[in-house]
Amino acid sequence: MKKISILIILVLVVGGWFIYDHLQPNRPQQASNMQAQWGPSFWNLSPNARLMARTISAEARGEPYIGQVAVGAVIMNRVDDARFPNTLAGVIYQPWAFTAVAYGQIWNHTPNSTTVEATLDAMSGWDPSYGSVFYYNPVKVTSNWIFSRPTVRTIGRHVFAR
Amino acid sequence: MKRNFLIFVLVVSLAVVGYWGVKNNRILAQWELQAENQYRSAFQELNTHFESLETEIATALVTKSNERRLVKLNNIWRDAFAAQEDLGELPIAGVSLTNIKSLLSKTERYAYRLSQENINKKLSGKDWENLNQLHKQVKVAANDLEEVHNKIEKNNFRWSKQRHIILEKDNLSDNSVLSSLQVTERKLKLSNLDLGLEQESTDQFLLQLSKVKGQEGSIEKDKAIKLAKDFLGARSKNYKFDLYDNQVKDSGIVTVIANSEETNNSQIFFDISQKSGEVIWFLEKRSFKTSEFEDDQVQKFATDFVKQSNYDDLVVKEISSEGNLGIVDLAPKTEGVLIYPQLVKVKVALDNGDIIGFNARRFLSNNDLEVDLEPKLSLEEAKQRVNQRLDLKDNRLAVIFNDIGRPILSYEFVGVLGDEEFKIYINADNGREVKVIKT
Repeated sequence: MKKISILIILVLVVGGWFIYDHLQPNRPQQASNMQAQWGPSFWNLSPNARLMARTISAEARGEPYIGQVAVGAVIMNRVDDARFPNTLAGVIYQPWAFTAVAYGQIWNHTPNSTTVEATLDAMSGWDPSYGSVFYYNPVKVTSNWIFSRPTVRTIGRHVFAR
Repeated sequence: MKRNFLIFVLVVSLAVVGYWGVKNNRILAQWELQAENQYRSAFQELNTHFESLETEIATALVTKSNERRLVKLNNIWRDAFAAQEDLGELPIAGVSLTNIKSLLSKTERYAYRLSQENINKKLSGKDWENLNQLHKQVKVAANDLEEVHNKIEKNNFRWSKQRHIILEKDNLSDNSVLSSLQVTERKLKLSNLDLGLEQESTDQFLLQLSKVKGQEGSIEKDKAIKLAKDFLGARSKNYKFDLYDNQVKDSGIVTVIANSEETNNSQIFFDISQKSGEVIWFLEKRSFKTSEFEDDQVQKFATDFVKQSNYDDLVVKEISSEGNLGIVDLAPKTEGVLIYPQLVKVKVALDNGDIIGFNARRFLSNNDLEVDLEPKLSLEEAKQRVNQRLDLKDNRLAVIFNDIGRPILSYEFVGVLGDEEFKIYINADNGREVKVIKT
């Protein structure tokens, strides 16, 4: 009986610690040594470009290279579009506009050099999405209104739309 | 005894967990309130800016003095801009309230244009009528938004309970806050506003691409692969070319993909115009080795490449580098004039000098600018219009877009003040200062 109660306390303590730890969204990130040695470096970017690189990284990791450039291009297109805020930070932090921002994934890791390169390309004007201001993964769509937007093209798992 | 102990332990842990839960709930409620306050602040600001916008336009319409009107016009675009920022802070999706957003954007750009073009001039009859029309629409929106504000307070509407509001999607109950917003949105009539503004930048490209001059008819998709190979040059023998699975829909663009196992699994994407057979852009992703080259060599790689690709007469405008990437901006030179809106970008790998990116999108989409390339002002006359404090180093003729997106032939002067460098653009027709840039 005593063993059981000790076990219960142990489970509660360990479980509590576990939950507590996982409730911390902003675990400090370590400077990544994993970055490709010769590519463009994340920490050399301007703060605006870093924010964009984080968003691309959290939204489109594992996508083809031009898929990442296209996500960056969508952000740039939104800045120019009358329907969206006029600044990069305004667009990215617009409430609930990007799930990765709303749920904090953008702060969980440092973008790798591929993403940094995609960011630079998007900011220099490469736009594989041709003026798209939306993109979505058709498998994960939660409401059907998005399908009413005219689509431009599909890259990897993302559909880009205007 | 043992049983009592167990009950004690359970009761204590329940109490601890309960306390923890209540405490967290309170913290959560505080943060929710904080978010709610920020949303309400944004909406209140939106109201304030709309109201102020309405009065500013109304007074701009009745003022007679040019100086007063200039102040009013500046206030108008400032208020319209601020209102757009407020909208961006509310949890409303980009597709919703497009009429309200478009009204703000149009008002802002129109007022800005008037303030730029009509200095010391009377407002023309057409401009007055346009402003008058804008005022009517703004007034409708301003009044309605105030009603919505009242409703928010009376119904105790909470923005923070909402996630990414899409007005078109939801089944809105009548008379709710969100449905009133939708009603306002539908009340606005923007179709009869003909303000003669430059087109929005989005949507422009696909539209213009269809205009790209070229051969009759269109190229076959298989020919696109050959075009891509030729464009890449000698390097293309290391790559396997194929059409990309997902093409751009109904656009006259063919996407070609090239893979190479020999060069570190690098991958290249080409977008080719089907009508003219031109490569619009390409991008290569690959890994890098140590950097070898300096700026002047990078410049040579880029100019050699564009020459080989039949882009003659491109002049280097700017070079920037980041890590192992060099980006070279080139502009075409026609009749001795640089055409900056037709910028071509070339991306150079600094490890072996390969061209790993090319972008002629602006070159192709701005190929129909209507500008007279003959300056009316002489160089000396233009020089007098530049601030005498500057130590001028260089000058040339260039076409640039002014603040409202019109192409202007101008003299570009590079000048130094202290340890800072500036570029001054003087309109070559009327001598007005078009732009001042710090480089």
